[in-house]
Amino acid sequence: MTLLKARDISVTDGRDRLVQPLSLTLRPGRALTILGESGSGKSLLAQAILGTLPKGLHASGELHVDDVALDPARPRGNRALWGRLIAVLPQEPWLALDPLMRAGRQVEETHRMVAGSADARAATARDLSELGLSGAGARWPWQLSGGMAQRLAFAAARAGGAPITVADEPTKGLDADRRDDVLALLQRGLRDGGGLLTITHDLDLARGLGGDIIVIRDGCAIEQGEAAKVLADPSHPYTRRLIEADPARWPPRKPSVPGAALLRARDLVVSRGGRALTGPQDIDLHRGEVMGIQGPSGCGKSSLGNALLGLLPVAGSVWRDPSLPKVAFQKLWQDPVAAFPRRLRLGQGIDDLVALHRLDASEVAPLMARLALRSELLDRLPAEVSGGELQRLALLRALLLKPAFLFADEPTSRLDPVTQAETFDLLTGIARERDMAMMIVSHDASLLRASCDRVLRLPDQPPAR
Amino acid sequence: MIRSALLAVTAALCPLTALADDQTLDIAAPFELKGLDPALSGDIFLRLEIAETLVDSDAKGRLRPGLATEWTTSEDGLEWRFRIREGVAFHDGTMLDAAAAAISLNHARSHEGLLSRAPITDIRADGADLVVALSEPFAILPAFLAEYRSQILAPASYGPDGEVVALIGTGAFRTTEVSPPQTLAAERFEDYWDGAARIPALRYTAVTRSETRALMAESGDAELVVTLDPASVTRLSELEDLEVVSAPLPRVLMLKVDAASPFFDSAAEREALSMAIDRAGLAQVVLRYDASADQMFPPNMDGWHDAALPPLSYDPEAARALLEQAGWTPGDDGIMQKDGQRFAVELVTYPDRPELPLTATVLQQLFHDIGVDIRIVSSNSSEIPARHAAGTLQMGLMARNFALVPDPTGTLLQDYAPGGDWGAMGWDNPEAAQLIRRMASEGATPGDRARIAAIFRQDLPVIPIAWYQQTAAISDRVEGITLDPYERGFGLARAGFVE
Amino acid sequence: MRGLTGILAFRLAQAAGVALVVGVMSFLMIQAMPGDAAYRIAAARYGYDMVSSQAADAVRAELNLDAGALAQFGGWIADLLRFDLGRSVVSGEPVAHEIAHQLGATLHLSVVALLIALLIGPPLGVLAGLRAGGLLDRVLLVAAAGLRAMPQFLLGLVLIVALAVEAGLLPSAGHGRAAHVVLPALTLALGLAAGSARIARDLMAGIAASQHYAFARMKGLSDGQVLRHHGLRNIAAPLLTYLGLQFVFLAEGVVVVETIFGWPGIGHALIHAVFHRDVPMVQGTALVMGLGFVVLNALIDLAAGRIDPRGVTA
Repeated sequence: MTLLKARDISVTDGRDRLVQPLSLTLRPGRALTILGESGSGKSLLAQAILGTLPKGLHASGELHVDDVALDPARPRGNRALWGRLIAVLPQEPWLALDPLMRAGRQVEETHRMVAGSADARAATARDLSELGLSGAGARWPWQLSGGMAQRLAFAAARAGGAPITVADEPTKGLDADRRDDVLALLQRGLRDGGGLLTITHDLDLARGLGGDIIVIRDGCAIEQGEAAKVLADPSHPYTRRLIEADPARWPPRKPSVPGAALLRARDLVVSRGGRALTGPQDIDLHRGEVMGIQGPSGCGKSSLGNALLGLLPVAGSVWRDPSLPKVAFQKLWQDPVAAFPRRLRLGQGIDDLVALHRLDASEVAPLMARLALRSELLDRLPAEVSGGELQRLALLRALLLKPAFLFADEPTSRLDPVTQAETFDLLTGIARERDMAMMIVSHDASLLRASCDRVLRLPDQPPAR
Repeated sequence: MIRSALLAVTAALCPLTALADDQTLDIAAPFELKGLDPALSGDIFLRLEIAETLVDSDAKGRLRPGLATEWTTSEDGLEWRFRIREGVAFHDGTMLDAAAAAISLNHARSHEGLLSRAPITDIRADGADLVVALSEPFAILPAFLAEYRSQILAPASYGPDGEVVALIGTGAFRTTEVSPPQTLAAERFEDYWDGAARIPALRYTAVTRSETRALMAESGDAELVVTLDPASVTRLSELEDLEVVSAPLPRVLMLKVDAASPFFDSAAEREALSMAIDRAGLAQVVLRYDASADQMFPPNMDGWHDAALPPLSYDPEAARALLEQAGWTPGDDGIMQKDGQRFAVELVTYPDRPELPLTATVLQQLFHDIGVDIRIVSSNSSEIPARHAAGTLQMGLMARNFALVPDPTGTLLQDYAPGGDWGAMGWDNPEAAQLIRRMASEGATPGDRARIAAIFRQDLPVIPIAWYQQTAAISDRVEGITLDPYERGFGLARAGFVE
Repeated sequence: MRGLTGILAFRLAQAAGVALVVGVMSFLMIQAMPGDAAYRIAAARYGYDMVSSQAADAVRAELNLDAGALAQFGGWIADLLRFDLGRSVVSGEPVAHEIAHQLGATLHLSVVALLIALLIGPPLGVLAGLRAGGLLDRVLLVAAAGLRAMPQFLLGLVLIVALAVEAGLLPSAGHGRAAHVVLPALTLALGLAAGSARIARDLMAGIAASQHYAFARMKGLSDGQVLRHHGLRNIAAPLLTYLGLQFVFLAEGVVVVETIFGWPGIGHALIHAVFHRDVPMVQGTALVMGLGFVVLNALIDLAAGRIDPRGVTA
């Protein structure tokens, strides 16, 4: 028996085929996970099945859901599936919940208006209590913790009684605890005999869900099979690299020997819009030390770093080694694309930097070699190089200034796992070579564990309004 | 939500459910209602024939019986008796008698106004007569009693503190709503002493913008629209279902000068200014009708206008010659100079009448041609009397109505015997002052009036520029509406809707 | 949560502050204007043909204008503390009566204008916002920009010509019949509708593109259900706040519109009072309008807080 059967689903943007014909089948109680890095086309595949492709993209193939035949080329018909046959879990539950509707009502309305439940109120109460949300029904979404919001969104999505659940990157940006919550929720659906299609690059999640796995790269399914087998013994070299790139498998860090004191903060409180984001923090950083800041999105991690760099006003005191110039404290931005002028050749930017700060131009070539950057990249525009290259160019820019401290704000969150592993290897290696202190911001606990001397965890905060 | 919003709109529209009705004559005019007291808005009440005066006047300004049927004065001229008309009912049903008239006139006399300045010692009822006692002879008293502030209201109109609390007149229409500043509604008064009016009801709306008034005439929302701007006159004249009418007014657009200042202290200098004015051109451009004044009083002012007088003419060459005779010589900048002083003066005017600032700009150009430099100050109408009183007025451009009282002597008495707020300033002509005062106390002969006109023409205490016209648009749905040069009414009591 | 008494006390203090500032400002403004007040008041009372030195002297004596500015202001404050706004120096009527009469007319006009604006603006804006970039959206953008750019004076005349003179559907100007309110209200409403349509469109486009809107659709709700439950309410609070600010625009428009249409409202009266140096009327009108804004803002805050409790209870 199958819940959903998709045959030869492909996606084009009119010129190029973004997803090559691919078939999949969902069975009751068995998870199917699509594994791939960002840009691999795995989300497009899910969108083609749901009928939510962005304007300009077209799907083709055959789709059967619960014995209903649908034409992926005409996505209007898919609307009838939503909520009733397919429950779609949101990526960021806080943003998916209506901020102006009390929590319980958001579940209740699905029961009433989608499932046509006679006693939607009772059904809601049952859902909430099963998920440990009793008493949270009268709260506003912004009064819920991240985990509660996640469970509430799960209940709201599934209250329509759909047998199939689709989850697109459900653990994106989550720390380990929350990731386990999500895993438990998804497994709950499977236990009830539902089907589950998960799109993720999170190996832990894929491992936890079990079932089958399809690995996608560049729109092609390069490997598929049982989860346990694929993850333990991948046959395709790419799958192997993907698994190797998992921070959990990185070699453990050799502890650094702290040098001179570089930066000291006392009773530091970072606020945004008059709201304190962090409790009072004491932070000490020495040369050669790598410190991690961990917490979910919106908790004030970036603001904390900016405060230490003196880019944000703060309460409390911050001391930076006054013998160092201001440019010795550098920042690596989260989104490298946004950190380069779009119409300026990359080499021009580097030349300007050298001229502005009267740097030694002969240092550029060896540093580029160290960063595995080919010299011809300098003739290109930012859009013409890959994300990993661009982030390494950003690193080049920062390192030319001989920083004593580098604040790296989610430096690899826009990069795929393989590139992430390479970039981190470079970062920590260079920090050691140059006796440079680093502060790395990330939501990924295992990544920080693998690359930092110590990690500061910031608590959960609802997103700012 | 949309349904309830629709309901709300309907509800908001409903409080005033009176429907447009064809039996109401709608009048739109620029004059706002200020209050119930005739001193504030009596001109409107008089024109709408809501209240009346003891003495009335005809289209030529000749006095005729109103609420008084006849009047006589004692030998010594110190006591006047007005016989009160019998059978006149107020709108509240009470009857008019001399006592009621005395209350109204004493109210007017106790407030700022014409009566408070007349030499009156007492106003009382004596049987069917109203008796006015004077401290000196005052021949123009009947004309004063024809003025709107002297209108007669019922005793019940006055509150305990003497203020007007209700508008109860004797006119052909009785008010049903007075909502200052915009609206007054009235209905036909069936017991009107001169026979009930034909029009069942009328509604007066004060609309200050002339563009709006013209559009009200065009859309048929107002059957009578008073005072049209020149542009609208042209457009409305082309429409078929209404008629644009005009009547000359005894209102003169004039230039007032300080005749005591070194610039204007000779008649020659004033004549020079007058000759610098291209009146015909100015009237054509600014007023858009031919109304150039070739002497002070317009032709419709019987006895005051003298066709034999030498007309005021336009001759800039002669004007320069006159100034040079008076000792002015052109300076390097073309402006006349005398004893080191440039002929540069300030001209005060006001925008209440839109044509005044426009005229001032034209004058600036015309005067510059003869070497006189004018700086225009466009302010408030009250600036002219205020600066006159302070002695700081050099030149004022204004419009003066000589028919505030049907007999122009009343206005002349205020303005030229020897001078006053809206008249001569620094002008010394004992003959004119004496003559006007004698006309006021003893009455005038036709010769007196012509003499005044001649003195004004010769001496130019003020420089007349144009005579005004009153314009109105009248719908062809109504008949019998007339324009009165003395602005006392529109003939509403006799007007009617076309059957 | 801030206590209700706290909010009330804050608003009362704000009202008292507004009263004082408005009183002082309007008084100082009129004192600073050129010209002799006695003459100006006489001209206002008796008309320009009748204003004379005698009339001005009589006014000066009657109103005791020589007593000086401070004494007059002190008198106004003393009266105010007894909740007496004094009498108009032009008509002699109590200021409170005049304001009540004129404010009623202005409120009538404003409420109708607001209702028309709400019927036209936000619904069109919502429709445009739901299909941002669509035909309606583009047409609306041009129309709204045109309406906002058009002076109300011109708009009023255009409406009179079109609807009263040419079509003969409505009376052109005046006051008293129910239909009289339509054209002036429409003149005011079109500008308001244009503004509120743009705001509603931007808000709706933002909400429609939001993740919670998409999630509500994915839950299986129909477009109508999503709009009703997760769209309209979410744009209501900011839209309401915007409309509150637009009352300033309304008050400004009222002055022009009332004059064009011969509507006996408070904007028209205020202009005249300033022109006529009618200090008690100016102060009284400014005071009532100022307090009106305080009350209105309080009500809008309250309503917006009920719709969107974030920030109130956080």
